[in-house]
Amino acid sequence: MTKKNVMPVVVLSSIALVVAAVLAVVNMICAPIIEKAENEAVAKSLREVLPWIELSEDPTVPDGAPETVNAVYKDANNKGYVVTLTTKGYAGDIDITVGIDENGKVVKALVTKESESHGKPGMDSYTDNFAGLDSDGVLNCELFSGATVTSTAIRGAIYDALVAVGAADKVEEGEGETLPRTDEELLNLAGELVSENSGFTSVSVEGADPSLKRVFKEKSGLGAAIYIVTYTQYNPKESEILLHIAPDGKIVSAKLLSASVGGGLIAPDQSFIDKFVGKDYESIDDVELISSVTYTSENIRKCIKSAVEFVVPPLPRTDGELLNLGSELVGGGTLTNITPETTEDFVKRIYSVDKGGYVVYIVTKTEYNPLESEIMLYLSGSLKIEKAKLLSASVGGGLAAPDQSFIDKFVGKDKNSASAVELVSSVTYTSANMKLGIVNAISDVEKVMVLPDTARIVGISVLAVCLVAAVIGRAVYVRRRRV
Amino acid sequence: MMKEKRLTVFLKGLILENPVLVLILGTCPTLAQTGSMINALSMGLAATVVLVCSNSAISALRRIIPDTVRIPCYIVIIAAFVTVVQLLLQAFLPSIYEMMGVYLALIVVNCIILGRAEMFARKHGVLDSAVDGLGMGLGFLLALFAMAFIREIFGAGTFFGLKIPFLYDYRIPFLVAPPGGFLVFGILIAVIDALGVRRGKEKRKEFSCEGCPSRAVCNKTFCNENIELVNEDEQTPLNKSDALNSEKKEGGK
Repeated sequence: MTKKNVMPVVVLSSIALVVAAVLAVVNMICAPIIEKAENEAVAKSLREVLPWIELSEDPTVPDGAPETVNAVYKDANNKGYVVTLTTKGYAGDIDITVGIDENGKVVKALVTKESESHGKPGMDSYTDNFAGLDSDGVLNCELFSGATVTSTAIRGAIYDALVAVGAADKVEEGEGETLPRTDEELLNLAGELVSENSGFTSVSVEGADPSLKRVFKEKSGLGAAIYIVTYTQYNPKESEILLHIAPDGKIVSAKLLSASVGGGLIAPDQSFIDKFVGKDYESIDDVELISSVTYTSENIRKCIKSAVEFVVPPLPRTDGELLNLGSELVGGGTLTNITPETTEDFVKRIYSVDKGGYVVYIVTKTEYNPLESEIMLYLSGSLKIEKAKLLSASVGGGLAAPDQSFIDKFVGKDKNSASAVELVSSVTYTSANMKLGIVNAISDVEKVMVLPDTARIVGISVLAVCLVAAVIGRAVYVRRRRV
Repeated sequence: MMKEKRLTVFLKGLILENPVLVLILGTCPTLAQTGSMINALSMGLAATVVLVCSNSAISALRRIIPDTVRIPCYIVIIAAFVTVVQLLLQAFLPSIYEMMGVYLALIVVNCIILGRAEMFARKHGVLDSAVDGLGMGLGFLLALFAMAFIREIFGAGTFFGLKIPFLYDYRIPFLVAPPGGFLVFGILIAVIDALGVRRGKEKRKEFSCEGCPSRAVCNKTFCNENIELVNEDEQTPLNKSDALNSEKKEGGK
């Protein structure tokens, strides 16, 4: 081994050792400061739900905590906890953070991430209902009409947070209702009924009509398979029906799995169930009952209607009415329905107008559920509100609802300036929802219209810039050649 | 005299041999971190600190580091300084640390730093190398800031995050996107070129064949790209015959 071969190794190793030592010293100085800053960053995010929390230890997941619990952060002064959870909603996972004080009461709950479909409640305002509640209060908190699945999931998660910190007893799963068929059988039948499906996820039916026993949501957006068990003419005789309901609320297919009436009567057969195929919420009542078994057939019809309502909550007006109202608002014109599959809160229908612009139909929740307000907007191509009409408004509780003068404040505004419109002080919840609905309407139209117009503008800009760049480049090149 | 020489070294890095717009080095962070002026300033300052420190350290160790392992040694030294800057930013300026993301660590492989170490620091004294590092770093910072100025003001309609009333409504989002970044970069290079900054000083590659990545496939004994030779300062760079002689000498060892 010559000096020539050894020296490079020695030098490189020495430099590496010196560098390691220097970095170790710097790390020793910086590590405590970094750890403190990171803890402070986590604590800052947790203070949104528990303002006084101080962290001194890593989060834990207590033994026996519900599956939804991700982490429990304990306050260093034993004045409460913050629990982070993930639960299943209607359209996907919902992340929730719950602050709980030392007395086992909810301080605040926040939904930090969700992807629920239209018809869902304003998340922040729903979780506000849990502030100050203990375990009994949480269990008895009302669900949100029109979004029972989502609100059930949120309520369940908040209760799980209380269980995780020992402020509530775990609700033992009971024996459960005994159904005529197992879940496995039902999933197989659903697979046969919904052709070309990509599998199903089970959706909670808590709060739904008692006849809805199972709801299986198809994963690729084909809708849902719903299993109904209805009582027939003579209790406890049952009929079982499996429905495939599309995302637009129409019944795609229906199968009568079993029917019995008793009393020597002939039960409804598949031909009766087939009459519901192609129907939606409004037209289900057109199906004639079977005269010999009116109780059973009426029950079946009612349960099928509840199933459709569960999958796609109906609008206050028909599509035909909305098209007429929209045409009237824009002063005559043809409207085309361009509503995407998912829309923001309160936005129900989006129509493009043949002479330019867009009409949007909004339904908002008011101060007292389930009362609703309806607004129709006419947006120009540059997304300014040209016209706005309050179709109906109700608040309840003896309060005066916002009137057309509130909606008129939005005329001429774009998304940013609409967000700055002042609320009506006596009905802040209702007016806030209306404002949110209007802002969301502009956002949704922006998404729907973005491709054609923006692509055109970007394309022309790129072309123009390339042309200019080419001219400058050519001039520089020619000048250099001359030199 | 020495002061004038150092001033020349400093000014070269700033304008005449601007690493981004003239030498076209460090384009990756240039394009990635010029979407906003705050990002550009942070990246520029971090790179300047690393450049000054690494140039000084490499210059101090230039007589000790053998030629055969000089690149690994330079990288270890540069990586050390980048790690120190990372730790200090994470501890004292966490918001800047978060904003820079992965590009802070990527300063290690920034061509400007390794390039200046190879081209200047290993042949000059500590103070000269530090001044060169400062000049190059500030030149990098200036170029980044110029790009970020155009992209943020006309692309996002903001100035250091604050909305500019008229421009915000008529902003061109394309400029903030990667293709727009390339376009602004190209236009700036063209402008610098048109101003005559790059003209007339064709530089010769100043590393030996030993350090050349194309050595295995190149059959030449010297590098004949950019063969217009200039006398820089008091240095006489290699000419053709010197290159041939040095090859012969190395062959004879």
